[in-house]
Amino acid sequence: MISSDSILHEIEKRKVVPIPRWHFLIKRFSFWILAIISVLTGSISMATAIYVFLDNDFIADQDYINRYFDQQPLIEDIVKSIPYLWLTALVLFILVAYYGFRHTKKGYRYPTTRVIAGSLLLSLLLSVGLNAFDVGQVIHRYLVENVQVYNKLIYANENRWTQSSKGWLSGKVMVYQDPQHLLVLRDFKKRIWQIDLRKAEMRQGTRIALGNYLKITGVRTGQRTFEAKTILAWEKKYHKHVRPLIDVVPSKKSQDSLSRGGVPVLSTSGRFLLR
Amino acid sequence: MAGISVNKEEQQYTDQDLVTQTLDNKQRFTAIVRRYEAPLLRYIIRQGCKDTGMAQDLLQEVFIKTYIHLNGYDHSLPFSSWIYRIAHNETVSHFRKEKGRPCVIDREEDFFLFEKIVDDLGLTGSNDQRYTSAELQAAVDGLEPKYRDIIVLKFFEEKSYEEISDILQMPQGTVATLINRAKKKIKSSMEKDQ
Repeated sequence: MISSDSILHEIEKRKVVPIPRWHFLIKRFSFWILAIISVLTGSISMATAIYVFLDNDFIADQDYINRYFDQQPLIEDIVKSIPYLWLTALVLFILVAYYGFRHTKKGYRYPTTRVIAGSLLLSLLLSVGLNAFDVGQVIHRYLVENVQVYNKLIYANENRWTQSSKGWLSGKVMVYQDPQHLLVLRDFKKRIWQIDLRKAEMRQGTRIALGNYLKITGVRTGQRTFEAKTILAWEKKYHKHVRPLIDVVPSKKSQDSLSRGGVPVLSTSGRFLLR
Repeated sequence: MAGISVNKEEQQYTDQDLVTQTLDNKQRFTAIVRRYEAPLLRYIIRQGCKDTGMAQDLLQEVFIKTYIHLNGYDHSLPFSSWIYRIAHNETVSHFRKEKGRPCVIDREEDFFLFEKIVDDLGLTGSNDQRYTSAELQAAVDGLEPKYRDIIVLKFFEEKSYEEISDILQMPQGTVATLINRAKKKIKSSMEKDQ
């Protein structure tokens, strides 16, 4: 048996001293910080993944589903549109969160499945909160517009709507001249387009204003010119919210037109016209 | 006589008290050493360190590590679990360096424990013939290290599930699962050898 004195002698010989308490506190704190940051970044990944997937038009719009059936099977399109990049990031962050939590003071007492499920649930709840403030959209759009490699790694609605040769164009309104029916649009590849709006039909809830993002169908007429047929607001939340019309009693002319079976349509200025 | 009175005085302190005292005065560490040297040496040997000299060297390293990390001890956990954890990690890392782990528990004093385990596990062979402790020892020696570690802690060190969870740093559910699997493996190994 070794003697307690020999242990003390060895301690003195090696000149060892207890590691200061703050060292352990920092270590424990670091693992908590790692776990918390990973859950937060995981929730940002999840928020962006949810935004990217739900932003796809095959989810909400039957017209586009029909259109896709003509060109490629819908299921393939859905599989292609799953944001694998963000889901991979989410998995990595969840694993790091698990690692961080596992190394906290009593983290080892919790089963792996419970810790991972808890992190996922927390990330999901946070991502819903983040998307209420459009965080997923802001991150995704920033990357689409500024990081070239991102576009190669993800197939998003922006890619789908950047096919001018197929008649699909989208981007940010840079200039809008209502009287000339002219719109200048910057697409997601930062190319500037002149859009002719004379034959354009505005979809419900769409408003053209500087800085707004629009989806436009039509025909490419030149190097950077496009003739619009339909114009739709990018954000789906506006699609069902028709802007309130001016609260006026229809004029006698309008009433006559309606009684003759005229159809109310939305003008480019956002007003209803009777045809 | 003086030694006996010192031991009596030490016994009135909890492990936590001794840790606090050691941080003020390193001479008090001798009380911790005296309290744990025998059980830890036994544990290191039961983990598979056959060479008593080597086991004592390992024990010395365990105590030095304990002293160095004393400020990292969380007083909400039992000190014994914490120091056992250090002993376990030190022994495992020693075996890893040696690239081998002897798989025997052959101390004579453990034979009565084997008898006890035969009873605990209700190990009876065909025709209600009771297995012998030697057969059980062979079965335990044949277990993979992760099962043997847990069997040693549960049946030889007589630790609770909670203590094993703190020593091996795994959830209690996993401890229970490993113990059950280890029991099944022991039984099947003994049945095979019959």
